[in-house]
Amino acid sequence: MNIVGISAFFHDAACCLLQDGILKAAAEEERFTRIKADPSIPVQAFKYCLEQSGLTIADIDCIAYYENPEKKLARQLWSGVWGNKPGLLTRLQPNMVASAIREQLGFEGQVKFIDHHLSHAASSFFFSGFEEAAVLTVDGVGEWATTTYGKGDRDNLQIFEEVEFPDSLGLLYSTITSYLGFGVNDGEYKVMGLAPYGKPLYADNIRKLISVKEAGQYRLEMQYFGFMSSRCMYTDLLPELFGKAPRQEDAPLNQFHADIAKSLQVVLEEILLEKTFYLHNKVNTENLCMAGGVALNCVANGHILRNGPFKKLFVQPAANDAGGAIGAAAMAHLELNGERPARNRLQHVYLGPSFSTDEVHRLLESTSVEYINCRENENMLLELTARKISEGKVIGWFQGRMEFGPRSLGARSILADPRNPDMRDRINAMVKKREGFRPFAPAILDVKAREHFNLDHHSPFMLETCQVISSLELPAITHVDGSARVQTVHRDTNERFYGLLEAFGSLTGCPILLNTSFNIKGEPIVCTPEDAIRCFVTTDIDCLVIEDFIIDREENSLDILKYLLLYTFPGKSGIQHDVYTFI
Amino acid sequence: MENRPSDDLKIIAAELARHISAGNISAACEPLLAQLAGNKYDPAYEEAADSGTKAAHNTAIGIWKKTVEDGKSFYSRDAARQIEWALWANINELPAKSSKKRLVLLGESVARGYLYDPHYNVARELEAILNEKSSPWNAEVVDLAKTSISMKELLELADACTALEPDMAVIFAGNNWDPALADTLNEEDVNTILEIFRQDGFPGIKDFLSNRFRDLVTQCLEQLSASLTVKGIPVVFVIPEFNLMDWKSDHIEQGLLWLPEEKMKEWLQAKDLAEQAGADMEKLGTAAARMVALNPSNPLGYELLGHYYATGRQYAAARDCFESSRDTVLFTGGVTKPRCYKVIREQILAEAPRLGIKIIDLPAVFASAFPDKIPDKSLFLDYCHLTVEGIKLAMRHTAAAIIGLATGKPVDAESIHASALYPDRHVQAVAHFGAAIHNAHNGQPQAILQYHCNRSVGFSNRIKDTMLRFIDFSSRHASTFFCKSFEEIISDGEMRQYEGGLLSLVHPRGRKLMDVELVDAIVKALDTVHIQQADIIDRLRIKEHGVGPEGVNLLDSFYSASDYNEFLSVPKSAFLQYRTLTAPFHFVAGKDHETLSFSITCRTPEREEKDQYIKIYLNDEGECITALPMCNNWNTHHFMITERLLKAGVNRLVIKWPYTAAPLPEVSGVSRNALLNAMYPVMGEISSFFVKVCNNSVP
Repeated sequence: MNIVGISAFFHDAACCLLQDGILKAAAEEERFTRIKADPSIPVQAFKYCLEQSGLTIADIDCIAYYENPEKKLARQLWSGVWGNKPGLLTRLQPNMVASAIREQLGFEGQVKFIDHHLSHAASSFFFSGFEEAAVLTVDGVGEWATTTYGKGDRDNLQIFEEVEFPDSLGLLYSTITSYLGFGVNDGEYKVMGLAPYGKPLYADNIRKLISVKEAGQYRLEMQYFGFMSSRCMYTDLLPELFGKAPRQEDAPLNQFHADIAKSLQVVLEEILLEKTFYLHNKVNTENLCMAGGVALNCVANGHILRNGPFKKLFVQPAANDAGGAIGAAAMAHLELNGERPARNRLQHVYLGPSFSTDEVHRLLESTSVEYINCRENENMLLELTARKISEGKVIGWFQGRMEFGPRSLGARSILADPRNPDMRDRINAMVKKREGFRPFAPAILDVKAREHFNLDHHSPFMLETCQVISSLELPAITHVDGSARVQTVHRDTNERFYGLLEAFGSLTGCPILLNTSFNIKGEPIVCTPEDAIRCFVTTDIDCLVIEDFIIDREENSLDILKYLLLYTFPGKSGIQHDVYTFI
Repeated sequence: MENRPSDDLKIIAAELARHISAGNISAACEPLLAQLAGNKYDPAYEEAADSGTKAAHNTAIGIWKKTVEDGKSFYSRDAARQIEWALWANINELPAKSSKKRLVLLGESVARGYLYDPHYNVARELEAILNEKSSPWNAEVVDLAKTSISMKELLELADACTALEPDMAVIFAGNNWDPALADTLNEEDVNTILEIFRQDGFPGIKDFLSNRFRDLVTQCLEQLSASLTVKGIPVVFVIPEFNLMDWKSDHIEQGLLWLPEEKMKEWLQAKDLAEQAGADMEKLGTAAARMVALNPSNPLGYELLGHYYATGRQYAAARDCFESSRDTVLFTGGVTKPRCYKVIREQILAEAPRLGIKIIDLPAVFASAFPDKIPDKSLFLDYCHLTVEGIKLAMRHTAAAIIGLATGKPVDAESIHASALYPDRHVQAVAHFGAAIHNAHNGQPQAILQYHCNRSVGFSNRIKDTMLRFIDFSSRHASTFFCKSFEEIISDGEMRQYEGGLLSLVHPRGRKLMDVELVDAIVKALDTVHIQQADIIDRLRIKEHGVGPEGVNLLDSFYSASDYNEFLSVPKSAFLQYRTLTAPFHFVAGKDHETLSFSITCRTPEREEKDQYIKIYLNDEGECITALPMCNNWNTHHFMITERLLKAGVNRLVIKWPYTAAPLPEVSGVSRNALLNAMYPVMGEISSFFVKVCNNSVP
């Protein structure tokens, strides 16, 4: 049975294909259209999923959409933000999703609408490998729900309690994100990165914004929040509460901002921890599954695991809305087959497109670029790459199938030596152009992880933080509080990346690499070889290792090509910072 | 203070959402909405949202930004708008006004001297004529024409340019105005159009849109007058002409408008007869006249009838037909090539005099200059852009009007001589090469591509290097930006005449063409100067695009598209859609002539009849390779083409959809796509189409 899962029309549109319960392909639409967080119906990702699986549209049994449009419309109407303009009712398009699936994807068969948070919950539980688990989903808002509590038991998944809009931990986090001068819907992870620089001096003020209630409930004190009635996430009372004006986007960050971020992070962790205890009381198991945008807060995840009642935690690596596509497909599979789609834990997220060595070679042959051909000599490729990294070079690493989800995990990565104290600034200057306070993450051989990090389990998806305990100095990947967001790398899921880590370890004694996403600021992670070359050429990355080929900037004169590639129109963004994205 | 609605209202919200989702929007819904919304609606929201689009009045004139230094102000190019520079005159700084009279030239790409600019252009020709020794009105011409300028931009520019203290303005525009018309159509209009179509068919829509266009043109002229003539700046308005004879309608423009069954069948029969007529002009004329009578929305009938009249030297009748053909596209909703419709011309002719605007009517000028000819490729490089000959003729008449206005005495254009300025031969070679590319990318037939390629190499042997590079990158799979041969073209600056030579030569992401017809035309043209490339290109195509065991996706733009024409209002979809009866593809077979295996998933939406088949033809289209049953739903079919039928290199495969009648569909929405679907029903759709080398001959 072939089931397509789709998320769209908010942000992070994505598509996946579940074939007889096995996840065959998944990708975000932004990777193909190059529109950051593209919310449109994922036409390209859909085509990719079919082609990757060798299927046609006639082979698809069901399309599952990650939200219930009617429920969402009810919530939107309830919020009243559209007012009662004449003719409003005829202009609403509640069937837009179904129409898009019919008219733009051309699908003729059964369409299922799965509630947003149930999609999140399913995306986590059914791919966790747990027979039973408590399930917690937390994000800005779906239809009505913003947080849900559920239980997964073999082939069953049920949500037994939810917190409804406008009470939302996600919206609390986004509101403070906005107050701190970052963009709503894409600046939240910057706040998380800023937090370790601060002290929780304003935690009590943050607590005034939210009242923790009985059971799984909490309530936002809406007098501080503007997202229900204005174009601003917060009212004038919020700056009054903190005693300072909101930060403007380009204004410098200071200690106050870091303290606010820390305070927010502390309160978030407190509430999440309390609610996980509640959840544990309701669902007596040692396993916890999490999903939803807030589940991408890896600091909170680590806190929950270390201090909470659950012994094991599974966070769906595409925990944001993109991953909802997987959950929707999984629920449809359950409904149609009476059994869960997968019993084993999701081993990897290399579910996107790949490109053959021949294709890459053909492309390189068309260009003016000089390259080293390592076909049929993988050792040479790995040793040369490791040597270049050890010499302080920054590498664009493009290998195999692209990752699904927001993290680069060794398929579309920028890699560097984590021991180099200048590396963070260097990468920021040459390619990432991001705020200097944000840390980079380490990737490490799974068998070496315990030697260098306080980590007693695998962390293949880079979704939790732990303390660095290494005897090595690792300034480029160690955050100000001594933590790191670790990816453990496994031979059976990414052999070539594993081989590179081994080669680097043999050469330097350090089996760790700095691993960050392969993209230019404001653009999606690269998808195709051409995207990779464009990113390499238009930034100052030293080398590009693309399948079996190595391109070294020092061996090339790239000025004209750089001029040409920079001449293309700047990347677009589908991110809406407007509060209406939530309404 | 609780800034949230009551929880009690959630039930009402759910009820209202249920009604709306079920399409059951009754009077009972309004009170529910009122309960939910109260008086919350604040128009300030929308004003705030719109404020971003309201450009603050600034001190720029086009790309030239006002700078004040040492108390002196001047206009220099704004570095922040560098990406637009190629669309404007290549002038870094607009000069301060001298003792000469100052004339500003505003207009569209035709006023830029598209494909000759910056080496030669309309402004230079006009200035040269005006500065001839015998001219009574010497002037400097400030070139403010912009490629692709919209009506709105034109009006803003007309207002802004007064800061340059012009003594007169020439406006050479009217080709780019149909998007402005489209912008005036709201949801109600879309419904109205559909209703008119149901009642009165195509003529009714034509009347509706023509009336709307008249109003728009009048408003435009009034605004131009307010910005210029009312301020004492005389205006000469040049109405563009169209390449009536040699610009052909494309597959989008030839989309099949819905007709009642018998009419459509008869139209298709007449079309077949016309196509079979060959040299039998009477047969052609009769069939074409029938096509026009049956379906006045389709440009093809007019084109064929125009050809019939032109061959018989009935030029007035031919002109009428070609103009009608040109104007049908206003009503299709496709991306149309710029053109000045009859309604625009007529409205300018009617309204401009009362506003004090002097007119140069190029259609009349050309008709008068060439009474025994329909405007053709000798005057045009493509649909509307003039050749050197066309520019010189147009500017002679424009100069006559300018001098007449300046001196108060009528001047006969025959007394005005063209300037001695000519672009050098290499510039003309590049212009014709650019024209070949532009024609190809806009769906023109091979013959016109060959004409421009031959003209190009005829002008200058040096163009061969550029052509060789072009055919190299065009035949490669890599996006053009990445190709070494493209880099070389840009480094040498050879194609700057073609909109700067950068963005004009590249393709949208994921939509590169193989440019088979164009590359073949270039190869043939090079052959005339003894440069043989045919084998080299064949080998390159096989290497880059050859079908192998791993397969080729024929829906990729390389193989499924030959131009960039598309319908405007159709949202992006995961399949290809056809509103004509044919779907052409290319694929590249290897030298070894292996048997190829094809797999296609297709449907004929809303139509399914027994005994009707989707037929697939190869190369000369004479032999039907396979016939697939017509089906309303997606079906996957497999077929093979044996080696004996294949050519080494590029093969052309054509899918022919069967025509079967269907009632005019009901439209469930008010979108333009819904309107398009109703008026131009889909004949066939393809969701996947793969070909690979077959290892055994049994599919």
